[in-house]
Amino acid sequence: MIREMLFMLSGQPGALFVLTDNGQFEMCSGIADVGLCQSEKEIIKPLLKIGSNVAFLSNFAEEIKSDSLYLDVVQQSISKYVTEFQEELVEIEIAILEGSEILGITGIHSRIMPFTLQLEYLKELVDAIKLQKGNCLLIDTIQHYRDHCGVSRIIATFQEIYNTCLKVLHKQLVSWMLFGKLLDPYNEFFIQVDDSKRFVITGEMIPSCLTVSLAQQVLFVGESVVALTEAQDLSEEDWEFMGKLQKIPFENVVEIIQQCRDQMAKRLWNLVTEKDRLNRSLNMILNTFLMKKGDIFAYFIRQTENIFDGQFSSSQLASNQFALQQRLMNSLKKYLDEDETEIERLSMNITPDTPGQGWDRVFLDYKTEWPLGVLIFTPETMETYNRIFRLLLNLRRIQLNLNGLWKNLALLDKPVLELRWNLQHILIHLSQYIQIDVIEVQKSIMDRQIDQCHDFDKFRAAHANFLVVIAAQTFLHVPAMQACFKDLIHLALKFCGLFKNDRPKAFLSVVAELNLEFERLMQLLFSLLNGMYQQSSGTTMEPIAQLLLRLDFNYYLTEGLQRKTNQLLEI
Amino acid sequence: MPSEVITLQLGQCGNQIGFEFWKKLCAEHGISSEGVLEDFATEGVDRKDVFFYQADDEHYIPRAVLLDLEPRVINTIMNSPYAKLYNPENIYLSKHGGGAGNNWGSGYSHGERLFDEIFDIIDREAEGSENLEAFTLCHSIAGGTGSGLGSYMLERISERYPKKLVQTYSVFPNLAESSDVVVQPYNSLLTLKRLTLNADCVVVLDNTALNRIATDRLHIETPSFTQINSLVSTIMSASTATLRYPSYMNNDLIGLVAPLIPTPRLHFLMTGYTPLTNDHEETSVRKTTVLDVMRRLLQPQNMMVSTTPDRNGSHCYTSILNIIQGEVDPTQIHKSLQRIRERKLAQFIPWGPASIQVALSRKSPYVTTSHRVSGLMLANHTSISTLFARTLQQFDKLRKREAFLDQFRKEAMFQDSLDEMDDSRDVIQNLVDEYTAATKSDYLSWGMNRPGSSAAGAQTSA
Repeated sequence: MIREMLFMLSGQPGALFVLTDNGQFEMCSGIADVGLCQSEKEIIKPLLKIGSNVAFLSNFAEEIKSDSLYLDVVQQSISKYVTEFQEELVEIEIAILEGSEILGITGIHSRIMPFTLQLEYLKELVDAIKLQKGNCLLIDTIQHYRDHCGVSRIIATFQEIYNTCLKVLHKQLVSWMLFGKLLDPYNEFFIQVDDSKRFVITGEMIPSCLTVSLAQQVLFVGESVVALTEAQDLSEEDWEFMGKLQKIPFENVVEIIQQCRDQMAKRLWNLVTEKDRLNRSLNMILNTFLMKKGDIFAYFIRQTENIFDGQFSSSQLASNQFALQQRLMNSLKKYLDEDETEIERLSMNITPDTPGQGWDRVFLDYKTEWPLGVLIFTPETMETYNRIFRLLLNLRRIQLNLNGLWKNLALLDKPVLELRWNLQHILIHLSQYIQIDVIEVQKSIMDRQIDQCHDFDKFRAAHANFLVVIAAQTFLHVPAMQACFKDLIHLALKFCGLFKNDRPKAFLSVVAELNLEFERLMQLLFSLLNGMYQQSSGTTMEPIAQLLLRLDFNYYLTEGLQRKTNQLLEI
Repeated sequence: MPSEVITLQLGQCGNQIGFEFWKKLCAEHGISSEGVLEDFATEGVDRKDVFFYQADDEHYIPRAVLLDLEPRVINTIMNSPYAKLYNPENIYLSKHGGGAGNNWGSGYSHGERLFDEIFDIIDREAEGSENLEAFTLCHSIAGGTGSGLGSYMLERISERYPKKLVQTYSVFPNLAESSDVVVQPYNSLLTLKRLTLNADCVVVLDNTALNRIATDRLHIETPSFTQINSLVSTIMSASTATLRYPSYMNNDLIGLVAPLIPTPRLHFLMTGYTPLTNDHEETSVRKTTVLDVMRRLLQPQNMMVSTTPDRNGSHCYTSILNIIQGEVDPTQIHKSLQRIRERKLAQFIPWGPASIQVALSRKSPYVTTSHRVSGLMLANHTSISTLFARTLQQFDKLRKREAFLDQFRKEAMFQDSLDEMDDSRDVIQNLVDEYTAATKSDYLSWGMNRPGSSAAGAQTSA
C-alpha cells in the first residue's frame, strides 16, 4: 500500500492507484478503504491530487516538442522541480525500508506537505503556458504568476523560472544588438524578418520588461550593426562598448540600450554621410522623383513624347523600356550636375503587368548607395516616391503639350482659347500647390529637423514624416481625387490631340463637349475638396484650404459653378 | 535641347539696354568681360546655354545680334572691356552710318535694303542652335532704327520663323518731358501695330515710369541713361532667371509666356521689381520677406509702366507671375497669397480663372546683394491699354494737323498714301477696345460676331 502510494506520488500509476482519462489519480474501486483509518481516508484525497500534478508536470517536462527556446527552459525548470520532489520520495522510501522512521500515510503526507503548494502552482502555470504559443511572451505569463502569489517560497520558484526565460531573451538581445543576428530558430523574438526581407518589430511580441520605444531602439542597434559590419566599419571601441551587453545582467542591459542606440546612431550617421552620400541621394531624389530640376524632364518629355504612341503591347515592352532608359540617361547627363556613376544608379522601367496606358506604368528605380537602400530608401518608400513621380510627370507632360499649342492657338476661336486657359490654370496651380505648398514646405521642415543632427535615427524619422505628409497632401490615398486628376489629365490630352493632325470636321462641337466635361470635372473636384474640408480639422484642413485658394484665387470657378447650379435650378 | 533664345539688339536704345543685359548676365554666371569662366565660378547649378554658346576655345559667346544704322553706341561697346565678348560677325553697322534720322519710315526702308545682310547673320545664328525657341528683340518704339527697322524685322521674322516665339523688350518714350523727336507719336504707333500683330509677347518698359521710379524710389534727381538702363537690365535678367536657374517650372520661354497670355492680342506685359537699390544707397533696404516682396510688387508705384489712374476701378489683372529670388521660406508663399486675397490687393478678370503664379528661383552665387529676397512681377493688366490710348491721342493731335508728315512721304511706303498710318491707328484702337472688353465678364464673346476679328492679320474696326 505505502509502496503503491509512493509510486503514485511520483506520478506513476499502479495496481491500486490508476490514472483516469482526465489525468486524475483515483483508487481502484473494490480495494478501497482497505485498512485505512478515518484520518488517513481524509489525507488520501490531497495525495491523489499531488500525484496527479506530478504526473501532469513530468508529462509536460518530458514532452519532446521543442519548437520553442522559451518552452525548453520552462520544461527544464519544471523537470528540475519534479525531480527534486521525486528525490524526496526516494528518501522517504529509503527511510521506510531502513525502518528508521515509522511512516504511515500521515507521515508521508507531512513530509511532502512543503511541496504540495509548489506543485499546485506549477501546474496552474503550465496550464496557462500550454494555452499560448511558445515565445518571449512566456516571460510575461511567468511574471504574472509571480506577482500574484503571496507565498514567498513559491515566489522564489517563479522567479527562478522567470530568470531562466529572461536569460533566453538576454541571449537573443545580445545576439541581435551585438552581431546583428537573430538567434531565433522558432520565431519567438519581437524582431522578425518580413516578406521583403526587412527587420520589423511585431508589436504584440514585446515583453513587458521592455517598452515599445526600447524595442525600437533595439531594432535600430541591430540594423546599424548589420550595416556597419558590412561596411567593416565597427571599431574596437564599438566592440568594447557593446561587448558589455554580454557580461552584464539583464536589468543593466535595459539601462544601456539607449546608450547603444546613441552610439550606433552616431556611427551610422557618419557612415551614411560619408562622402556626402546621404545629401547626394536626397538631392537626387528631389531632383528626379519630385522633379525639382524641371529642365531635365522638359527635355526628357520632348524626347519621349512618341514612345507610347499607338497600342501599348507587351512585345514592345523591352524596346520601349530601352528607349526610355536611354533618353533618361541623356537628359540626366545633360542637365544634372552629377557624376556619371551617380546618374547611372537611376533607371526607368515599365511594369509589365499592370493595366493603364504607358505613362501610368513607368517607374524609376534608384539603386542608392549601400546601406541607404536598406535603412531609408526602402522598396516601400521608393514606391511612394514613384506614385508622386507619376503624377508630377503626367502634369508636366500635359503642360508642355499645352504650351506647344500656344502658337497655334493664336489663330483659333474663343471657345478653344477659353478651354486652353482653364486647363492651363488648373494644371499650373495644382502643380504649384504640390511643388511649393507641399514639397518645398515639407522639405524646409525636414531640413530644419535634420539641421545640426548627427543622429541617423532622427534623420530617418524626419524623412519618413516628410514623405508621409507629401503623400497625404497630394491625396495619394484618396482614390476619388486620384481619379479626378487622371480624368483631368486625360481631358487635357484629348484636347491637345485635336491639334495633332488636320482639324477634324466637328472640331468646334468636340471642343464644346470637352468644355462641358471640364465643367463637370471642376464641379467634382470642388465638391470633393469641399467635402474633405468639412470633414477635416486642424492640420488636415490646411492643405485643402491651400489648394482651394490656389485654384480659385479670383473665385471664378466656385462662382461659375454656383451660377451653373442656379441656372439648372431655374430650369 | 536647351531652348535657346537669340537676342536682337536694335538701334541706340536697344544696344544700350542689350549691353547692360549681357553685363549683368556675365556677372551672374561668373563669366568675365572677355567671355572666360572665372575661377570662382564652380557651382554648376546654372544654365548658360540658353543665352550663351561656347566657342571652340571655351569662350562663352552671347547669342546676340547687334544692329544699328549709326555707329555711336556700337562703337562705345567695342571700346569697352566687353568688346571681345561678342561674336564680331554678329555686329552689323550700316555702312552709310547716317542712321534713320528718328524716322520710322527710314528705319523700315533701311530694313528692306539690308534684308540679305541682316538675315545672313540671323539665319547663321539660328542654325547654330540646337533647338532655337525664341527671338528676343530689344529696341525703343519712338526713334527711327529700333522702331522702323525693328518693325520690319518683326514682320520678316514672324514669316521666316513662324514656329519660333518672338518676344520683345520695348522701351516706350518718356512722356513727362518734351522730346526732341517730334514725330515720336507716328513712330510709336507704327511700331505698336507690329508689336500687336507680329510679336507673341511684349514686355513694356516705359521710360516715363522708369524715370519716375529713379527719382521717387532711388532718389536720383536727374537719372542718367546708364542708371535707367541698369534698371532695365535688372528686369531683363530677373525675368529670365527661371530659364537660367531651372527649378520645377517655367524652364523655357513659352512656359513663362503661355500662362500669362490668354488670347493672342492681350500680350503686352508690365513688370515690377523690388527691392530697388542703387549703388549709392545699398543700405536703404529694410528687411525683405516674401510677403513684403509680393505686396510691394502689387503697389502701382513699383510698376515700370505709367498707366493713367483708373477712375472707374474696372481695370484688372489677367495674370501674374512673380519670380522670387533668394532665400525664401516656402511657408510664406501661401501666407502671402492668403493675405493678398483677403485684403483684395489685386483685382482679377471676371471672365475666367486667374491667380498669382509664383516661381522660386536661385540667386546668382557670384553677385552679392544687400537683400535676402527680391522679386520680379510679370503681369498682364488691362490698364496697359491707357498707355496705348495716350499714344493714340498724341498721334491724333499731329495727324489732324498733318504735322511733320513730309519726311514720311519721302519713304516708299508713304509715297502714295498715308493709309499705313490710319491702318495702324485702327489696329491700336482695336487693341485698346479689346483690353477694355477684357475687364468685363462677357469678354469671351467679345468680337465674336465680327468676321475675321479673331484671325491673324490686320484688323479693321467695326
